[in-house]
Amino acid sequence: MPFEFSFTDEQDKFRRDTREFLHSEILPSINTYDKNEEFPFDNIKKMSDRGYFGLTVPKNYGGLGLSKIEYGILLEELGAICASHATILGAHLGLCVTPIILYGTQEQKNRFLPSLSSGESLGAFALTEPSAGSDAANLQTTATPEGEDFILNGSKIFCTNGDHADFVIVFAANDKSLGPMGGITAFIVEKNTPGFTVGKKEKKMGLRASSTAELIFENCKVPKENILGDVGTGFMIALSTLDGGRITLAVGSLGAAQRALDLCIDYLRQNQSEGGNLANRQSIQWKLADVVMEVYASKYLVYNNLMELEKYYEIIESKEKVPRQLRDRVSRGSAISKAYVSEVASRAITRVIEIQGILGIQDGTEIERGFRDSFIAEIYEGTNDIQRMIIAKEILGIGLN
Amino acid sequence: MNKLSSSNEETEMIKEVIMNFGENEINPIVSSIDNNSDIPASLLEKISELGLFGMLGSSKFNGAETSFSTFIHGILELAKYSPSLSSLLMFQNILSVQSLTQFGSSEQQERLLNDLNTGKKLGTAVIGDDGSTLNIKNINTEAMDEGDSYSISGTKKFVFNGEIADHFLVLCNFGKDSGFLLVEKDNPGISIGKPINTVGLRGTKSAPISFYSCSVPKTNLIGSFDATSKIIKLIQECVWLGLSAISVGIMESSLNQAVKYSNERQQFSKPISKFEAIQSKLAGISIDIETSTAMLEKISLMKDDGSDVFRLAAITKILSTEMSQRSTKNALLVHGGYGYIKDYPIERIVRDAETVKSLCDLNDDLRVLVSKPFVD
Repeated sequence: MPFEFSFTDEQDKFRRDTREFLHSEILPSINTYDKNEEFPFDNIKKMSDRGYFGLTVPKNYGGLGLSKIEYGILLEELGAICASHATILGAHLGLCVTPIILYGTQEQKNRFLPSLSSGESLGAFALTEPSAGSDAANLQTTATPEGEDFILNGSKIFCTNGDHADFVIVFAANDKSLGPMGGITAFIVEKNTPGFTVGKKEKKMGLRASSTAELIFENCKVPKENILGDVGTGFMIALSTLDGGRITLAVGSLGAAQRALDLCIDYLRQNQSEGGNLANRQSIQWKLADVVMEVYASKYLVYNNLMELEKYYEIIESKEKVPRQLRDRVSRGSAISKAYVSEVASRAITRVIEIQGILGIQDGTEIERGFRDSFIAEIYEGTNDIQRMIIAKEILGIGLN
Repeated sequence: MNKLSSSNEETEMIKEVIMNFGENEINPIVSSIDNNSDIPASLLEKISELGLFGMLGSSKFNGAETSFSTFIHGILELAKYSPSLSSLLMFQNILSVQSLTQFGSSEQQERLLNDLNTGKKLGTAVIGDDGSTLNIKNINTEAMDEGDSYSISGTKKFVFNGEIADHFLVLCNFGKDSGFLLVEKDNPGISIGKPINTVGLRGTKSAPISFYSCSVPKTNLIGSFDATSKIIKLIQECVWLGLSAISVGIMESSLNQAVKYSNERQQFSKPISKFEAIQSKLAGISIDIETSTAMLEKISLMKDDGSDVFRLAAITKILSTEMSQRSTKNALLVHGGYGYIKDYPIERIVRDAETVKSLCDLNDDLRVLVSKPFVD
């Protein structure tokens, strides 16, 4: 376990440049997208022009070839200004592009990665179903072999980017009798495939600039060359992908917590310049100190997890056997990060509202939007109850079944 | 009526009336109140037939003249259905009806109370320039003596019901004294600002109000300068208890939603209510409800009996708003992803709870007040 961590000069510069770009080019339009529940195509174009949608993709496929640390920095800075934008990017890069890099064939990488890296194509990940939420293995969507194809039937819900995605990683049961390990397969389903339609688009409390859609598969024919990994390995692919996804969610939450803190400091300075004395109140100082402590701890937690994730994914990509110990550590680490930091962010926002009062939660303020956005981080990619179950069972050596 | 029991006839009657009204008239439109940021006028008309605009008003002017604890039960019951509507009525009753009933001159009462009690007119009051009730040291809303009239200048940043009120009781600084002046909404020199929408209570209509040499007759002073501190104290303790009642009502509706969802939702081949992690959340909400209800009922009855409940009201407000915030959040988490989408009411309930918690006074300011007896 590494005990020392520091960002390189290049990483610090990457953070400064990213922040400057996001604050000048993206932040000003976010409230409008949020208010209108509109997908931010313009912002996605601007971000993909800087290579963000292919940040971790190897250069030979058109990506920037950067590490998980830079990915963390990007999502932290993005999470600070808008959870919707962080979620769009995370679903695309973490949940769609990453499993293609890890498990895709050479042919699949050549076919899908260039357009996904440039942002010309958008990716999504579809695991959750009406009856498979926390019980993710209980998939009802079926994949039946038919000649050179598989036929998909069923529906997915709460799919981030689902209605705008060009490629969706879809998990379906190829053989229910085999259970999740062996009975689930991952497919790369392309937009406009006959039998694949978008259903209901959810109206949400927050994350309103991101889209959350139902996907419907009715005798949807997917060629075998679109199987990701091997038949029956889908659940492992989902779990290892989510191990990374959860850490990057945590990084986004870290950004949100830091932003709440920064905004509160601005508020207190403003109050001071108007002759107020709030910054000298101990009730306020103590609340801020609590946030600072938790943000400080979170930062080490998530970047440490990201370094381990980097190693873990390198081994998967090299097709070598992943040491069980490393896999468990990454899995537990991602559960810890996701549950802890999402709650840190929620607490930070609650405390800031307690300091600012009613005018702090007016429409159009970042804190108002941050409050509505904060809840989902405790829910998606496995509720924090599920994370606690993973952490406790792993530490007690109790099987997850 | 003032026995230490909340189950008197008057209370039960009002609760039943509101329950029927809530099920039939409010429930069908509660999400559109939130989405459209508006309580339809037709609903308010029906509410006025129930006498809820003037619960604390005297029967002499067509008020319902209920006890304070019955009023609190009514507000709580209403908040189960619509915290926005409940807040509108709570502030109308406390800020306007009660203040004028207890401190208004007979001329003011004759002129205003019939319309206020029946909901034909709405009134509000504002104490701190920042919208709080505690911050009375730095009132920059000033009233200048101009012979027969006072001229008001200044801004009140947050006035509950400000956008829809027909008149305002405005706490002004008179130099040596402070006092409430009655200002009509069409009085020259008053400017009602852009409505302030907040994350929750979206059916309510708050606004900032500015006064530019706004001239009102001297007879518009409420009570005398000597009465000002009594008016403020009455408003403070009643608003804190009113906000507590809304918080408890909100918690009750969040528990109902969480119980319903967790018994319907199946995961791992059984209703999720069978899991201890869910049971623990449901139990927690229930504990918060029982605790804050007991406190609220006790303090309301003590108030009816004439006890000084000022500090206890502050305690009740801190307790119930903080419990409501955590309980509604846990009720949302019980719903998982469904808690986050607008098909279920819990996300609105959470936003309402946070807003009620943030209204008027910060809990840290109330904590300072609560600690006073312990500080030399």
